[in-house]
Amino acid sequence: MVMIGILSFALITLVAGTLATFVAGRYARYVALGVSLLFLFEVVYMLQAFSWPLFGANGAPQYAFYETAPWVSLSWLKINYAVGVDGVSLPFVLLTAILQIATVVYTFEEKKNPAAWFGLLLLTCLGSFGVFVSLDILQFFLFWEAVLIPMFFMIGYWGGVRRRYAALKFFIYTHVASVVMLVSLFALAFYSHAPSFDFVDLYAPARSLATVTQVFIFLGLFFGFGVKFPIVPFHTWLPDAHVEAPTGGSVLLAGLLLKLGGYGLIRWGLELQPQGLEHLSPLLYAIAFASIIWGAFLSLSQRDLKRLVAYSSINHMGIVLLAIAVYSNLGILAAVLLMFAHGIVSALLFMVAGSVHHTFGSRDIVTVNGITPKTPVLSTMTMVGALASLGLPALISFPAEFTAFLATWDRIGYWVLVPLIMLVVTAGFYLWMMQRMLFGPMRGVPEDAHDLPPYEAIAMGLLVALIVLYGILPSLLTNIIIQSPTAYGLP
Amino acid sequence: MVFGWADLNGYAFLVPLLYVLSFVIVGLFGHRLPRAEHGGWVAVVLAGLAMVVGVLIAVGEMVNPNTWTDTQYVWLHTVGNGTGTFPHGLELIMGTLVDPISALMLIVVTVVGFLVLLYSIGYMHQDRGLARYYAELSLFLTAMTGLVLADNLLQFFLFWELVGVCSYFLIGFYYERPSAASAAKEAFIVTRVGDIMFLLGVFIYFYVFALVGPNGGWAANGFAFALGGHPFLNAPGGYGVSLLFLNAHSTILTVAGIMILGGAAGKSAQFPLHVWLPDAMEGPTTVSALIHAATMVAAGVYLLAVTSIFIGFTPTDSLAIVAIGGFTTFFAATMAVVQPDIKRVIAYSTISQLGYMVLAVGAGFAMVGLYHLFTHAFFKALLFLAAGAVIHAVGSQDLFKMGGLGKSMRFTSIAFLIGALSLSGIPPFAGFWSKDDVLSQVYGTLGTHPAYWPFFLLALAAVFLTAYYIFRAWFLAFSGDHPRDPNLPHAHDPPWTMRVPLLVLSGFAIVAGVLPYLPAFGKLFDLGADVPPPPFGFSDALVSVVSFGLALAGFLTAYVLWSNGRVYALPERSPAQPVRQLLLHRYYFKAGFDALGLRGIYLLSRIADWVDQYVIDGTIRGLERAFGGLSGRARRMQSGMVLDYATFVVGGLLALLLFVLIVGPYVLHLWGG
Repeated sequence: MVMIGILSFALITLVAGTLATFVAGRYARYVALGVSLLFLFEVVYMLQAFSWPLFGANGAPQYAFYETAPWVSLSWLKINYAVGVDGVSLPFVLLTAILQIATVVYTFEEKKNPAAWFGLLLLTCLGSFGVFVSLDILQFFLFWEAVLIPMFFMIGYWGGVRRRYAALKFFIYTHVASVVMLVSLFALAFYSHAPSFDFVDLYAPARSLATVTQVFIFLGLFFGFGVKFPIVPFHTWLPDAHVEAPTGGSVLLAGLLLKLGGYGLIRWGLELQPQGLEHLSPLLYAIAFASIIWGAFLSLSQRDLKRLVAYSSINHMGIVLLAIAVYSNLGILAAVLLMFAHGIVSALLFMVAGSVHHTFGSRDIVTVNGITPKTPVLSTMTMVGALASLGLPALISFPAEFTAFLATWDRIGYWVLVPLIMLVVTAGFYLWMMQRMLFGPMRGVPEDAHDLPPYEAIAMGLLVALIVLYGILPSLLTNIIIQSPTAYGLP
Repeated sequence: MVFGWADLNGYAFLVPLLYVLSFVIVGLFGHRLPRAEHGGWVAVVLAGLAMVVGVLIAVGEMVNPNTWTDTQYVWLHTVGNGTGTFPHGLELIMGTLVDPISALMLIVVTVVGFLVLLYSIGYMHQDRGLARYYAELSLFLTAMTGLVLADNLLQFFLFWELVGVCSYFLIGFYYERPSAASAAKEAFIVTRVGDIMFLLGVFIYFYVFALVGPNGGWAANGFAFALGGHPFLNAPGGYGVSLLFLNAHSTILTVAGIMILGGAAGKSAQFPLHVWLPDAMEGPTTVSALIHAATMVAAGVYLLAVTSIFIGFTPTDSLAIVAIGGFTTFFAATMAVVQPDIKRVIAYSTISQLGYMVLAVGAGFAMVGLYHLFTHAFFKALLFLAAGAVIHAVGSQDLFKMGGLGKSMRFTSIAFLIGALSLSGIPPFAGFWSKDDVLSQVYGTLGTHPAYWPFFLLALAAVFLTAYYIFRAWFLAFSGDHPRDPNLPHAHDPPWTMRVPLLVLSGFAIVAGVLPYLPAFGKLFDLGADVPPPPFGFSDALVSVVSFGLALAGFLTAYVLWSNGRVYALPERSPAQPVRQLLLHRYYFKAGFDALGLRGIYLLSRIADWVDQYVIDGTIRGLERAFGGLSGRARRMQSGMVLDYATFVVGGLLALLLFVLIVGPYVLHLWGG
């Protein structure tokens, strides 16, 4: 009997579940829900069985639930099947499970080709999960590309009016980035003469590459992962993709796909090419500041709720980049925590935008005003999402932003004023949105508009509960994040 | 003591917990209760229990003054690996700290909180959304007591932001009114400007103290206010930073102090971040009394006092604080002089009185500042609640429509009068003692700090204005025979739920000033052996006499101009008209903020949006077109003409040669380096 580990088991669950959903016809939603629940249980098992992996005898990092098997074994090329998690990747695995179940519940009443919808939804989550647990270059890349395709179809088939344009733009942008990333990863593997493509084998030789090599490889990786972030000036695909994507697509796009970039940059960039990062840090800071400022200012001028949230994502991911760029123990903690927080909060806000759209027929914050008396529950969800996103204490983003700013202050001192000042603008656009859309006299609200349908309320309620829980007890997450060779290895 | 009073400190966490309970019960189930005010009664009962616990803890501190801390839970921690700034990791905790001054604040918050909730039962009974109202007030009290009991700067900041958001929701309680929604937003954004400065100040303190902490870097709870736990706190010469430490880090500590001042100015509505407080009067009057008079706005002063006691300010900071406080006392009082709105008069008066507290803290008398905070909380809440009773009765806030209400609302008029006497500093009412203490202590420092002179004089002049504007309001509302607006409904005194708080607060407004003279109560102002207890009152007879004279003069001016239903109208062509307009428009501060802060930033964002669409995305779309064009050309290159192919071959070879000979070595050279 072959013993398989929990990670492989979870992968099999998702692969089988995705296939089953595609063929389940009108029962697809129940299959999808069942698969999501099973996956969530598996992740909960991982959380409680997870323990401190550190460095092995030869200085290579160690991973929890690590499994490896040779896949391609030639004299000059060895590719493995390798999976494992540490404190950096486990929060993302948890995020995948949470967003998968939330999205399935939110879109539970999808009418347009539900089998394909839920199948693609699960496929996106499968791809993301694969990215987060893969420890082999080629395997990583396969999962990475596997995320792209379902998202392309979700936007292109279930999307809004300009969906074809948006889907193509999304695909071409991220695909160009993927190619650059792949070339850089191959360069990394071949220059370091590692025995295989396995991360653990690559670790020591890759880190000892010459500085110039590291700089060039890191630059390529940064471009490849950065477009996903997205970083200014390669961000223009994001608002278009979000505006045209269906709500479920937006949730996964903002909640998971953006995190792939951040995770990839930490795992393959920061860990394997640290000297590259250190030498390029001025560039990283500049781009992070540009993203923070640009995202905040552009959010302020948006009148479409979805575009507003999309641009605010650029702002938040800029802070993530900043936290990665400071290259410290605390910075990694902040970056991972902030990505987790942003994953949940932006998911909630995109759900809000979706519900506003199909309750009022429009997401225009200039014409839809004063909805609170008509839809108090939706209004409350909007408030929690907006307040969480602008960094209110006792909600999840606060510990993340606080540690990010502390780490920034620790490294580059008064430059921390750039993101701090932008917090005022962030507060400005969210409060302005709330003032217009939620408060004031009611306008642009149809007579027959009614509050959230139960599935949407349940999905959002789940996210709100997590936002409060992790906001009050951030140590539930940070105690996991600190258990990683990445965080531990940094000053 | 037989009963071991000090042991109660361990139950301090119960105070915020009781309010949380109230928040959860009323917030989740309030609208399902048979009648809307039942949720209110739940909140009142729980707030009453919290008050009992809070007062018992304060009594414990009076019996046995001590500093007691406890860790509730670890909020976040990292693992140290022996390198970096945090070689032993970083531990951020949520804890409770009970010491004399937090006990003092606990009395203020729990007592005023309970009285305001009780008052709300009568005051708010006609409003919709009562469950939301009581839930939000309970959440506010949670956050406020959490702030008072915070044992480190991070926790302080956390609750500081939470009280801010509760204030945001309560200002915008009547959210259908565009003015309320706008005022709420304004309050949040203006205070957030201060909050960001505060956060930077926290970072700086953290960084500076990390350098001197145990083990060469703070292992545990880096933001703690542990009194006596750090070498620099036990310095000779009273509380504050030791000179040695101060000199070593004076620049960065000055910056930190200014940042803390910025945070305090935002919360306590000090110049130039004062604009939000008058507009915050869009909220219910009860909210104004609790949040925008007695507790939250005083949090800025409390922050300055705590920083001054536990950390200390540099001389530059002290001057900046004195300047801001002293200037604000006068600046805000001038605007109150012309206000037609009864609530806004009191709001400007709050800004002005907070200025006195800031002034005292800046001059080095943190406890005197807290003394004025203590008395002010009661008489200002009294004034607001009395004004609320008037608004409740006549349905208007316009002083010029009122008049003659003293006959129909005798109880309310007397309550307001007690508040007014206390505010203007007429002995023996509470305000006299504390304001006199502020002024005479600052006067005492003028010899060594001549730079304080102008701000002392401004604060002294504000005494006259204070007495004038508050009695102007009293005469306009209560004196005369009948209301100036005949359409005003017939007024009557409020029901008992509103009278009891007025009665209790009137009592405090009379006696609160002498409470610190009681030996037991005075212990709350005594911070231990190394911190000398401040002297109270009459330390300088000259200042006392002058300030009393000014208050009397203000009262007499108001009497001459406004008593017995008279209305003094400034002549059209009077040279004072432009001044009056300037004051009515609040020195055009709000207009300037709107134009620069809101329109300017919005314009910038529109420009950014244009650039994003047409320059950044435009470049990408241009590239796309260029690729399209290029591929068209490339297709044409397959011409089938041998000569063309030959050209390509030769050209390609040349390019390759160029690359190998020139670019290649350069890259290799880089590689080698």
